[in-house]
Amino acid sequence: MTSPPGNSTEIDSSRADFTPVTDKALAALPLERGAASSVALEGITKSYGPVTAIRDLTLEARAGEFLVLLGPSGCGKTTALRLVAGLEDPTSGTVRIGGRVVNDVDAKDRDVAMVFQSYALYPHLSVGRNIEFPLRARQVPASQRRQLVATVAESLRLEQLLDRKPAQLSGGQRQRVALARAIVRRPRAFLMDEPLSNLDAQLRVQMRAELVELHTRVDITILYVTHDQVEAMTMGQRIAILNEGVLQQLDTPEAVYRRPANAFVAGFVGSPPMNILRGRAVAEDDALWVAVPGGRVGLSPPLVRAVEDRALREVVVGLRPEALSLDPNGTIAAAVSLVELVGHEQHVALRLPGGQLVWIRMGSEAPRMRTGQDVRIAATGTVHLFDPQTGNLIEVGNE
Amino acid sequence: MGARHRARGAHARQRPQSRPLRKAGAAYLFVLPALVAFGVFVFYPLVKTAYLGFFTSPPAPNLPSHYVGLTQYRAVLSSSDFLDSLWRTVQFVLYTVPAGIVLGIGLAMLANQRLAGIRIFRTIYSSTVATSAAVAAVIFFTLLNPQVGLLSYWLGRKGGSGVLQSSSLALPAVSVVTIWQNIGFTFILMSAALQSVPDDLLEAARVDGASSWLRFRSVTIPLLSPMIFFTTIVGVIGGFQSFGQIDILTQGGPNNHTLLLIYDLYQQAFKYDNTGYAAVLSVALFGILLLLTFMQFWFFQRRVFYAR
Amino acid sequence: MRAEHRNARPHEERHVKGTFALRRPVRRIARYALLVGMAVVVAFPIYITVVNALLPSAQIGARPPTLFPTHPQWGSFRAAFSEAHLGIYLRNSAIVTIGITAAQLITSVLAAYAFVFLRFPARRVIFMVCIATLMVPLEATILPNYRTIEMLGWYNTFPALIVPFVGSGIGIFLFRQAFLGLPRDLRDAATLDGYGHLRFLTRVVLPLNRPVTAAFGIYAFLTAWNQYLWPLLVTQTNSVRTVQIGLRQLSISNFNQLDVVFAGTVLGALPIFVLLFVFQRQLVRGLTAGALKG
Repeated sequence: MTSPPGNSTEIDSSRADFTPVTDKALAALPLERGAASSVALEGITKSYGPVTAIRDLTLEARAGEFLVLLGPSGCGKTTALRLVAGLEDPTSGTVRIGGRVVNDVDAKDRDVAMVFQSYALYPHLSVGRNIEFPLRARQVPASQRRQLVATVAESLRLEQLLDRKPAQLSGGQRQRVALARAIVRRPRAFLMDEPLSNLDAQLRVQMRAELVELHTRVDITILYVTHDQVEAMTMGQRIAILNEGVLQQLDTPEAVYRRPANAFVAGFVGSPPMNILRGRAVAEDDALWVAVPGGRVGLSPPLVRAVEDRALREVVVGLRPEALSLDPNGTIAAAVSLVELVGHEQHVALRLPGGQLVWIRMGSEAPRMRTGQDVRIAATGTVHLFDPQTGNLIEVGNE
Repeated sequence: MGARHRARGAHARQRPQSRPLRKAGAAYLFVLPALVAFGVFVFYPLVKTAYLGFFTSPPAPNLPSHYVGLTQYRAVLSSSDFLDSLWRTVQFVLYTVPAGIVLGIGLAMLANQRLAGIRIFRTIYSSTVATSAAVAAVIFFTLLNPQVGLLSYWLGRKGGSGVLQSSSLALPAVSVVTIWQNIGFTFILMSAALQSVPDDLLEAARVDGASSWLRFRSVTIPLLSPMIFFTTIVGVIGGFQSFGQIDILTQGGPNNHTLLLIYDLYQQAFKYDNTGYAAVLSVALFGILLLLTFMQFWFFQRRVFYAR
Repeated sequence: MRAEHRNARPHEERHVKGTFALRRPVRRIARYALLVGMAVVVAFPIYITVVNALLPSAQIGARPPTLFPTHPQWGSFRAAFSEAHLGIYLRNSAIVTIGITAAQLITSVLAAYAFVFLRFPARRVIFMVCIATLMVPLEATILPNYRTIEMLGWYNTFPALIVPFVGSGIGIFLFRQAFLGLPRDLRDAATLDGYGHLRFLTRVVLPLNRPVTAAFGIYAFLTAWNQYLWPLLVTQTNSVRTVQIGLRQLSISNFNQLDVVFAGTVLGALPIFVLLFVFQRQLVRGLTAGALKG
């Protein structure tokens, strides 16, 4: 990570022209090297009466890391964030910040900042006052407060807005004020709860870039909660995927995509999602195949070995949309159900004889298909093999 | 490693109790002042009053009270004294509430016109909201005085017996004073309600050819009806609690003709030391007001519901 | 304006003239007559009180009555203020009313805050208990309360006038209702920003709820100022009597000095007139909300 030597009001001229997004004054942000702390949950369980929101969760964001918590709504990711912040208390387990156990530390003393989905700006205070608010609580002297606010405001292009009230700001501006209020405190970690979900699509892409930019230029730990797998894949250094309060996988975006720990992760990450097909292992034509509705899928040697070792009859295979292609000699018969043109590529949904939909990804130059048209497809890419009972990944085989 | 892990687990298990407990402690601290006040000055005396109703007061001070159970409740509540003062209170409410509301609506309609200087009239009509029962009573006490009172003079009763000394006119007179004192309050409420009647509804009715009376009857009144209901209940409750004007104007006289329930209660308790009797009256008053408050609360909640 | 209208639409002119043009001025005069008439009826008692306060005592009962003071005498106000003790009564009322209002604001805001922002066992039950006090009228509790005050040795003291009213069910209800409208994220954000409950309450919650605070403040003030029965029971000397009870004393004991009685009445009512003139807007909200308990 390239962090500028912080705590200086001089402008680092070598980076001044680097980006129009988060501008030159970032170098002057009051974030010292080494301020970032690791954040860890160890064996955390959180129950509300009979409902268990989080079950035995262990994960750690390393100091300076951008870690994304990803999962569908209600999976416990926001609860995990609130547990770190101290807004909730775990039923059991340990929360650590910078290696120190903080279970018994009040939220205000944990020294973490949170950016809320609603931004939670104080409506009666001006932008400047909002940014200053946490400093007042910590009795920072007025002159220092003014300087910090000015520096942070400049770095986030808010200096023209300091006297406005939140109601007079656009969504993107509010978002930046919320960010400024978090940054000005020099916290050990930033907790972000779906901070971009209230923005329109275009702004979201821009803010995504700004956040990543911010993170690469200053030394901060970010714990970022989202249900949007695109955000997770594009922003996170590592992704923790949760489902029903249980951690499914914690790894880099590439690893999560290439080796999803189980069928849930495989189906959640990637758009269109991975096609999960259930079938029987059959030996035909001197090879081992998986018989699926509409045809069969071939298995590469490592997968054959895995199936034979476990003596599997039932088999679950996963194929990314790019691992399937149209082929007149393909092994699977299907009918075109839906064609989505997404700029540079098209996503085609095909219906298998049993009724299941599978997605394939094709270049936009490929001829457009008619709905209802009968086609044949072939597995031309990576095949993932999952345990039919647990859904866990057994092996990934290349064609 | 294993031992360390276990130790940490134990640690984690005992900790979460302490923070929530501390938080709950803060919460109780926040509600405590109000709760103590309610306990000492609302709930305890309420129960105690009901309890006092089980004892008859001794004929002379310092003699023991007698426990008589529900007998006293039965006796007092069926006594003609009680029924008379209850009936007078009902009369008082019937004199004051409907007239007050009609006047309030009338003034609100008058002051809701777009005319030059209408603000002055609004201010005048709402002015009596600043007068307490005592202020109103003292003003009228003098104005109705048979020797020097201007109203007595104009009513042609100068020198003779005063209005407040007349057994047939005393209660109506007290009612008029009460209506006057409440008119500002009713006017303000009705004006607020009237201003929330959307203009386009009235205009639509006008375009439809409805006469002004029909517009008033079929658009304005229905839209005012929640506020009318509200004001009625508040007025009835206020009527049962009217004390100051009685105390200053008539002290329940002449000949008990303005002896309302609440004034009877006050005299029994603090003039005649008839604690048991007064306690029963208190409970009766509580029961009546409870019923009215329930009606009002039910209405208020519904209104809050719809407003949100 | 009207002329323009006619020029622009000659066709409508006839119609307008035929139905309205002649009747409008008549109607307008009739409306003003009604407005003025009602204004006289409503304002006359107040007007004559002020006039009488400015007349020499002997002239008040004279007939035909004097309806306008040509030689106003202001001495009656001085007499009412000092000799008839209105000054002390007003001071006492101010102490009692401000005490009650402040106490009700504090206890209600604190309790409502706990009901909205804190989680604790029996929260709902305790809230219901607070709301239940709305159903208990003062009149149903005066007997034991009087004894409690005597037992505490508070008879004829300010605590007797203030302490029984430091809690307000309607206040708790109104503030809770208002606080429920605040986003919960604000509380969480303030927690992380380092603000405890009390500072969050004073720096964020209250500034965001000025209207309801003003409305309830006015209602509480008005209710406390107008109290009659309870102050009558627990006061005995002028040193603690409130204005309402003072006016009663005034009308009983100063009847031979009618100008002083009227001047005292004016003085006794004046603070609320001024208050309501300044806070007209909040008054309407306060009355509609507060009317919950008549």
